[in-house]
Amino acid sequence: MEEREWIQRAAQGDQDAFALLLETHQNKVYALILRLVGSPEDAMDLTQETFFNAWRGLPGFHFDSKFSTWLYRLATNAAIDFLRREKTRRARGTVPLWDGEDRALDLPDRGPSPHSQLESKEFRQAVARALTHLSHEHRQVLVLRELNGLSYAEIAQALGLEVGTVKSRLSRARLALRNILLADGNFSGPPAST
Amino acid sequence: MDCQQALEAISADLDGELTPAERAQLEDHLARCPHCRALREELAALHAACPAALEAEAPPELRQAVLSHLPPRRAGRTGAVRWLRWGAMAAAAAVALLALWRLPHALPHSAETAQPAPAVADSAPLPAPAAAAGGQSAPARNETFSAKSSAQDKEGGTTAATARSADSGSARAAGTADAPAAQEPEGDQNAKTVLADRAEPVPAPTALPGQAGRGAAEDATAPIAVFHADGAAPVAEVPEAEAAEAAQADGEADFSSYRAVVTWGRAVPPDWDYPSRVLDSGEVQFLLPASALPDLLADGSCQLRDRGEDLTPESAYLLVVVPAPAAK
Repeated sequence: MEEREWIQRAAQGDQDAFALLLETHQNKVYALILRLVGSPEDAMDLTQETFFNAWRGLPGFHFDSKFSTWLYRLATNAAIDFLRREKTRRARGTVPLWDGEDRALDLPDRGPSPHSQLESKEFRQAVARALTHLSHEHRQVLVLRELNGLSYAEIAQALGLEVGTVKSRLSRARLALRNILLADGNFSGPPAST
Repeated sequence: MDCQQALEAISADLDGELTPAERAQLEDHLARCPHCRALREELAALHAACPAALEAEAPPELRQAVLSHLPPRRAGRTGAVRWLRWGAMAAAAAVALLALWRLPHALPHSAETAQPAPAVADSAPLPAPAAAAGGQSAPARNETFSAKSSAQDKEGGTTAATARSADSGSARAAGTADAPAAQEPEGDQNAKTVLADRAEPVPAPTALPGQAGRGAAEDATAPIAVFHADGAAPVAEVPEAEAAEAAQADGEADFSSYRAVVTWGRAVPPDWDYPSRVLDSGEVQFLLPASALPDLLADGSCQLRDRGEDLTPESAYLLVVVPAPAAK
């Protein structure tokens, strides 16, 4: 059964069909929210909230976009709303989302000895940590692009931005990430090329 | 193109969002700018590492946390849920939701004159129309039903439910509209056999106004048939047209027209014999007659929540029992 049919059945109340949608998308949604808000507990709550909203909103989903894009928009909104509420408790933008616990940075092993620094778990953790030092705006575009694979147009739609803004913001997000990694000494750059 | 523009072009190129003209300009700039060349290498490396660096797995408890708390759809919307065979549930649960809803379909009152559901080894024929329209519904993938097994005395696991379920008049499942022999899961073979014993087909439906759910919602006072697990007389009655439509609806009942939800904070009594079914989410749903609600409300174990406007004494009640949410 194709996803389209699952969606239609779930929209009519079929919880089993919704369960399939949940299983298919939960990791990407959870990871997106986790990278946006920082804490695994909050990400868990917000992911649940996202799927509750998806369940309620499904009858209004008419395939104008990809289902995943629609879902990521719900997730991003949930994260953004959460961060707004938290804003009074945190400095804006440049303060790390949270430090200390690295559970969110606990990534699965990718196998035996990495071939290069870039494949190492340590490096991936460094990238995830560096992400927390980005501004909310930079982090949003970067995660939606790199983790969720949204196109510029889809990111624009999800965040209510112009495509040109997405393009420039993404480039600056990447530069910022690179600068943070270089400053932390976690990134020695790619292998020397000819 | 200057370095600032080059940065944006480099980034867009990583995403395949660069036009040929823009790429030509970029290459031209890179040929003259070692800084940007190095930057491109670095950003390309990060781009390659990011997806793996950002991915995460949802906690295993997320699934249950979501599925066990999905609110029912608003009254009036179509909702298809599969009914399984009836049978009392032995499973205890910490939280229960009692939903008042109208069964869009049920069996015609003629069922009351029919024989009770077959006992365990007894394959006495079930009431004709009732039987045919009966609850033999192919359990959706993960719905389980102890009733049937107990009815056939196959599964030992169930408790007091076993005894009661003997009835499970699969048939009676008010609301089950499964055409006999529709989809049927391996496990339900026995139940199906019982149904197959019946001869009469479901009465042809009369012209019906669209969705059963909507029809039911529009007529709040129409009686509904709710059957006890022992297959005895129905508690209420349903218009024949609805029953016929139910029989045609291939086992799908419309839960969307619930009228009230009552939360119940204690476990289900083991001697309950109301028709019920279990969902994979752990949720257990019972059909209760209108007469049962006042007692539940009176002893304080239930509270009426989200009360609809059209509650009537004849309305049927759906009690939903869900497992306690996992502690976070």
